[in-house]
Amino acid sequence: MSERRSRWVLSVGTALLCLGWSVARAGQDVQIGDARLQWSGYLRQYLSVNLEDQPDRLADGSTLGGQGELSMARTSLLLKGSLDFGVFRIFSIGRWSREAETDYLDDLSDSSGVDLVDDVYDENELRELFVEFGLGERWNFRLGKQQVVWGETDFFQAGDIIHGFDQTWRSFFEPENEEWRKPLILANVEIAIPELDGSLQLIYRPGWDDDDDLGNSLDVFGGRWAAQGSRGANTLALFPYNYEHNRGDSDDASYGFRWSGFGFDLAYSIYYYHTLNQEQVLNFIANPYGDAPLNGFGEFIFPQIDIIGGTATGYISAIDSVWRAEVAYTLDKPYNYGFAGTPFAGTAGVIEEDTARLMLGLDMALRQFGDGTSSPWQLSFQLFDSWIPGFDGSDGIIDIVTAKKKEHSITATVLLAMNFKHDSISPSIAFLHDVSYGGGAFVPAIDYKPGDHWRLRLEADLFYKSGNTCSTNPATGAGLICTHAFGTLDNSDQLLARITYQF
Amino acid sequence: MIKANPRTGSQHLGVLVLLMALSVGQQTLAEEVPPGTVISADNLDALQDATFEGHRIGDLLTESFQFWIREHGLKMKLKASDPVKLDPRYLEATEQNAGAVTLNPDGTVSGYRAGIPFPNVAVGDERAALKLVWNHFYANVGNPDNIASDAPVYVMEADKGVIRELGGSNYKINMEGRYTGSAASFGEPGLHRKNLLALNSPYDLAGLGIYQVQFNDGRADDVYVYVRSIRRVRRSGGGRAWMDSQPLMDLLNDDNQGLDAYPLWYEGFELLGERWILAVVTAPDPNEPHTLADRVEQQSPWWNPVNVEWEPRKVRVIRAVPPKEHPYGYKVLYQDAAFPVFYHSEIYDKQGNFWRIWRQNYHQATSVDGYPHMVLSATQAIDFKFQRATYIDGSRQAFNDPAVRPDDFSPKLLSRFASGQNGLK
Repeated sequence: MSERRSRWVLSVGTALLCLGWSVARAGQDVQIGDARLQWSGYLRQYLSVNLEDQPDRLADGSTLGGQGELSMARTSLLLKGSLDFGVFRIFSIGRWSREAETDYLDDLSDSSGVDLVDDVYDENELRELFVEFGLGERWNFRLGKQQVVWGETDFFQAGDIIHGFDQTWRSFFEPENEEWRKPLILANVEIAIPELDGSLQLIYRPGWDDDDDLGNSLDVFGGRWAAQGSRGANTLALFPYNYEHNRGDSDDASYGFRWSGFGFDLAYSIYYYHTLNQEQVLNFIANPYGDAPLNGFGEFIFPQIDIIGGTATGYISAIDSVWRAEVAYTLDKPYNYGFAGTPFAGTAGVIEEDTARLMLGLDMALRQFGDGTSSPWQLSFQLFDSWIPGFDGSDGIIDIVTAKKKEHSITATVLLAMNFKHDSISPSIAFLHDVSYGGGAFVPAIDYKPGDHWRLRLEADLFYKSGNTCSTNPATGAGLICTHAFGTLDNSDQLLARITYQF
Repeated sequence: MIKANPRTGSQHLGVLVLLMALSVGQQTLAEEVPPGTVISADNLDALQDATFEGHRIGDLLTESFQFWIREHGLKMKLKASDPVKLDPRYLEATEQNAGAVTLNPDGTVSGYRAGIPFPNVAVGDERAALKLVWNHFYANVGNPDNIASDAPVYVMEADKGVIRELGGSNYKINMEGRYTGSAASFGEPGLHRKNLLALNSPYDLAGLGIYQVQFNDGRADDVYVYVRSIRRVRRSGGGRAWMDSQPLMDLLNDDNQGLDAYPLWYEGFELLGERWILAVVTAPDPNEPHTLADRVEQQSPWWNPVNVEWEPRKVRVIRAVPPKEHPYGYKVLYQDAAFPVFYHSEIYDKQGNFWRIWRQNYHQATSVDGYPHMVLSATQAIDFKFQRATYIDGSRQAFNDPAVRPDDFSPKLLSRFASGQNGLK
C-alpha cells in the first residue's frame, strides 16, 4: 500500500471514529445548563468512474485514456453543531474530506505537476461558524462565516451572487449546492418590517476571508474536471490567481442589501450588491486591465462589480403551478476579448459590458402520478439567459475558453423528480441544453433512502455536443473556435455512487 | 391474530367446560362492565353485548376499530367519562355570537366573528354536515388561538417496528375567530390561519414540510417549501398542496386535525347519523418526560397505543367526499356532538376499500395564559393497506401563549428548521 493510500485509510479511520463517537452519544439534542446543544452530520463516500477514454495528451506524450477508471474516491465527514443559549446561538459546520489517489488522478498529477489529492481535493474546512441573535422584535443579526442565498435560479448564478462556488472537485453536479458554495465571513442583518409585509437584509463582508474564498473556483490546474484539452495541464503555472489586484482585491469590502416581501399575490425581492466578479478574467500583459500582471505575463483576477436585481414568484391556479422570474443586471461586467479560436483567445484585453442574467422558470407538481403515499412528482422548467444588451460582434468577446460569445447565451433545463414507496425511492432526470451554442447534459439519478441513516445515490452524468458546439482536439488544437460550455465536458461521461451515513 | 390449534380428543371435554363457563360469563358480561375493563381480541366477542355506561360495547366500536382489535391487537381500557373542560372565553365567544352566522345557499358562511359558528346543529337539518364541517374549520377545539407542538414522529412497519424517527413540529396561529385577546382577527380580511408543519431532523430532511397561509374565501393556500438542495425557501403550488402526503408519513396535509382544507374544496359532506364511540380525552400530558414505549406498545404491529383510557363520547358521523384528484375515495369523520373536534377518521380508497385510520389522543391542559382547554396529545395514522403507521408523539406543547404574534410566522421559519432548530424565535 502506498504511503498516500495509507494516509487515506488513516483519515477514513479517523472519520469513522468521529462518527462512532457522534452516534454513540445518546441523542443529538441535549440540554447543558441553560444551553441546548444539537448536532448532526454525515459520513459520505463518493465513487465515480469514467465512462469514456479521454484524448488529452499528458506531459510525457501519452494519451490520458481513463475509461473504466476511478476518477474520484472521496470520503467526507461533515459535522454540524448548534449551541443555543436562548438569547443567542452559535452555529458551526466543519467538513473534512480525503481522497484516494487513483491511477487516473496519479496520471493527471504527474502530468500537471500539481499534487491534486494533497493540494486540491483534500480539505479540512471550517465551513460555517457564526453567532446569531435578535434585538427587539425586528432585528436579527448573524455574524461570522456563513452562507447567504439570494435569487430563484436553479443550476446557474443570477441572484446567488454573494458567494462563489467551488467547482473543482465535483464541477456543478453535486445536488446540494450548499456543499460547493464557498462560505464567507459576513455581517448579515435582517430587519423585519411587517407594516410593509417584508424585510430588509443588509450584508457586509469586511474582507477578512481567505483569498480563494472569493469567486468561483474552476479546474484550471488539469484535474478531473478540467476542460478537454487541458486535463493534466496546469494553467495556473502560466496564469496564477491575483486576488489583490487594483481592479479587484479580496481584502476590499463587499456590501449590499435585499428587500424581500409579499404583495399583489407575489413574493418578490429586489437587491443590490457590490462584490468581486464570480468568473475569473485574464489580465494579460499585452493590454493590462488596470495594474500589469504581477508575473509580468498574465494572471487571473476577479474585478469588482455592482449587481442590481430582483426576483418574483407567483401562483398560476389554472395549472396549479408556480412561476418564478429573476433579473440580475451587472454594470460593466468584465470580459476577455480577441483572438477567438486560437490558443491566445482573450489576450487582447478586457472589455466591460453591462450584462443581464434573466431567468424564467415554472414548477409543477404532478399529482396524477401519486398514490397518496409519497410526495408528488415535481416537474421544473427553466430558461436562463446571459444577455449583453450592448453587444457588438466585432468586439470578439470570448465565451468560456476560446470561442466567441453571442449576445444571448441561453440554456434550457428540465428537471423531473419522482417519488415512490413513501419517498424512500426517488428517481430523477435532469436535462440541460445549450440553446445558443448547442450541446448539453443528461443526468439520470436515483436516490434510495431506506431509513433515517443510510442514503444511496446513483447518478450518470452524460454529455453531448450538438449545433455549433464542438470540442477541442488535444492533438491538433482543432475546435477552439467552437468549444463552448458543453464542449469542454466532452468525453467526461461518468457514473457516480454516493453512499451516506447520516446522524 | 387468533389461530385455531389442533386439539387432542381428551381436550374436547375441557373446551366444552370452558364454553359453558363462558356462556355463564356472557350472561354476566351482558350487563354493565366496570371502568378498567380492557377490550381486546380475546374478549371482543364476549363483550359485544355488554354495556359500559349504558352503551352496548359492540355499538361503541366502529367496524374499523373492531377490525383493529381483532387483526392487530388493539387493547382499549375503559374509563368512566368525565365532562370536558373548554376555555371559558371560547364558550363565551360562542354564546355571544350565537345566531349571527349564516350558511349561504352557495355553501359559504357570512357573519362569523368568533366561537362556534353553528352551535346548535340539529341532526335533521338537511345542511347539518356542512355546518358541522364549518364549525370545525372555524372553531376546532384542537386549534386554539395559537399552538406550538414539537413532536418526534415515528414511522413504523408492522413487521419491523420503528423504521424512521423524525423531528417534527406544528405551529399554528388563528388569524380570525380569536377569543383570547381584544382582537377577533388579525391582518387582511380573508386570512384564516398560518400554519407551519416541518421537520428539523434527520440531517437530509431538515426543513422539509410546508409553511401555509390559509384563507376563508376559497383562495388557494399560500404555500412555501424549503428546497434543501438549493438552500432556499420556495413558493409551491398551493391549490392542491392540501392533498399531498406529509413527508414520509401516512397522512396527508389535509388529515391535520382530521380535515384541514377549505370545506368547499370537498365535493360534499353527508351526515350519516349520531352515535357513541370510544375516544381518548384524558391522555398523558405530552410535556411530561416519556419515551415511545410509554405511549405505544413495543411489539408487533408496533402502533397500538398504551397508557391511555377510552371513554364514551357522543359523536356526529360525517362522510366527506374529496375531489377526484384527491388520493382518497372518501373519509368518515367522527366529531364530538357537543363541540367541534374530530376523534378519528376512517379513510377509504377510490375503490371504496378501507385504507387508513387517522386518530388523536386529547388531554385536558392549561393554556399558557392559564385557562383549561382540551388539546391534542398525540396523532396517529395507520395504513392497514401498507401495514405501516405514523405516530406523532407530542413532547413539547404550549398553546394560547400571549407572546405569540402573527409576525412570528413567515416562510423563513422553514430555513430555521433546515438548520436543525425548531421554535418560533
